[in-house]
Amino acid sequence: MPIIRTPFGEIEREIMEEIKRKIRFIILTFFILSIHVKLCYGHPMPNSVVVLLKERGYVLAEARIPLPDLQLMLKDSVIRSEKAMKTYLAQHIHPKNLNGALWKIEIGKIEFISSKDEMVGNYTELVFDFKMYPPNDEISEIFNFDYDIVCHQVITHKVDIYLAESSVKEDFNKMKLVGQVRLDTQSGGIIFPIIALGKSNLIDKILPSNRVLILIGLVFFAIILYSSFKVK
Amino acid sequence: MKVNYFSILIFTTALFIGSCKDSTTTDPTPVTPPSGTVKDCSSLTGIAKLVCLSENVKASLSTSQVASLQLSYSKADAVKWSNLPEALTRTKRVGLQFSTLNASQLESVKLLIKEAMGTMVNEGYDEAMQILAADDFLNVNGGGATYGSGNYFIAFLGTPSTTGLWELQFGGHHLAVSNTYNNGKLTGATPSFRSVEPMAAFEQGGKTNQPMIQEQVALANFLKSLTTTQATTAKSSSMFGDLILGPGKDGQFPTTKVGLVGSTLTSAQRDLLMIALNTYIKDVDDVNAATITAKYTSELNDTYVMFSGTNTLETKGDYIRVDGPSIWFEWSTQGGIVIRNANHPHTVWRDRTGDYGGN
Repeated sequence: MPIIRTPFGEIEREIMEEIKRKIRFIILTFFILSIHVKLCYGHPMPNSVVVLLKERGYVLAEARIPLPDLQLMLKDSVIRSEKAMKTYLAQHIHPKNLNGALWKIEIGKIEFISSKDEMVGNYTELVFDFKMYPPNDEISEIFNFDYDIVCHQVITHKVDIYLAESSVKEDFNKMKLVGQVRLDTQSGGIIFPIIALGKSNLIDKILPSNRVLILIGLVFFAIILYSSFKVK
Repeated sequence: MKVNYFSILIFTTALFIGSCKDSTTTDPTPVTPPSGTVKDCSSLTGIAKLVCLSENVKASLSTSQVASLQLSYSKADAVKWSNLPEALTRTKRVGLQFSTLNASQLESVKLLIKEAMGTMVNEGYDEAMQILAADDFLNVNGGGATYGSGNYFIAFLGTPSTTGLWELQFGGHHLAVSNTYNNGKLTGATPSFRSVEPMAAFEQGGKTNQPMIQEQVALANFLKSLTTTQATTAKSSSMFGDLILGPGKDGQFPTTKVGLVGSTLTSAQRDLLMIALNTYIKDVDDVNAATITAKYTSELNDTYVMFSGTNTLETKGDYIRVDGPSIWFEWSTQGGIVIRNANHPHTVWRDRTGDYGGN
């Protein structure tokens, strides 16, 4: 019976082949799980979605804006200009403490992705992330999310605010809906929600914030382990 | 033991992809014997005829079907209407689904709807049947089983009578009819939702359909009649991607009316506005439609018109609102859902005091 040398000792070839099959299965399962995360990342149109994640010293946010509503009010030349878009976006995000003290914001990368929704079919979303820094670097557990991108002009537009427990891009149904920016039809004004961030999760403090990175790390570990096996 | 990992993988994939989709239900169509005797209603008129036809509907149904159709009156059920297909709406409709009816039962239901909605060409009953035909068109043109005339519902909220309180509720995708009757009178024909996809003419059921073209043309004719100064006053700086007071937005009328006030309209403009509104009002029977028209006409001086976008109402984002002491009307032009690259409207007629008959 051929023997294979591994970092953990010598193993018979037949057993080794079974181990290899299992590792291949694990790798492909991780791959499928990552696809699943993408497939379920949809939301009812025409709402925008903002996912908030409380980090140390700031709140990380990812916003998704359906392009059709954005196109009602902005020219494509503006939408496709990262500089112009960053300027526009920054003009319409004004988080503040309940005493009115403004938070500082920092707009990150902007990209366009294709999405699909049962109600509206295929559509494009503008996706960008931003960080919100509270005054004096002290995150209060409650703040006023003054965010009126699109809805300052397209007044039927709504923004659903979710709170994530980690930065994994999971199904919105599994996240906590903590507020909505929407038109108050009776007064004609926009209602900005008071967001309760809650206390930090201990596990999130210990583990890296992005579970996707953990998954990638595990896959790499499996690949390295697999490739380290040598047949005698 | 050898394990077929490839099979597990395929199963896992199907499981996860499947978990992303909402489940839809299909209804079996049990053919059951009728539970009563059909009466001759032809000599009756008004509410008496409507009640007679309602009883004929029940007489054509099995006991279990009657139990689905005939519910107690409740506001909680009255508000269960939507612009969405049944498979996509979270607020599920009550009543009897058309797909569960046999041909004679469906015929009986249609006779009742015809009596309640009026007989004008391209309005009332004819318009409603064309909206159902549009859903059949979507069914075979990319929409699939989510769409189709079998996915419409009818319910009696309260027992149809010439004395008591009851509502004839009929609707499905792009259609909501909420006729409330009390003490033998129609006390409310709203909320009333109308839409159609495709908006352009389409062939279905052996005929050409375009049920909402009259509405669009009439509203656009009114907007085009405005002078530049009037149009400036009427035009909103805001934009609208949808209706303000669609389903689930009951009783949330703005406290302040905006736009061009009716007292500044010329006689010809007032006529054009009423012609446009009548394309909705005439979705109820002729007698009641005349009463409602008279009321809204008398309130025109205090009725405001506001629009956004173009005055053709053909472009995505186009919007018009008519907001009076009683009437609330909105039209919003939106992108296509099943038929891509073609716009379709969403429209709602409400009444500030008469929605659900004031209940």
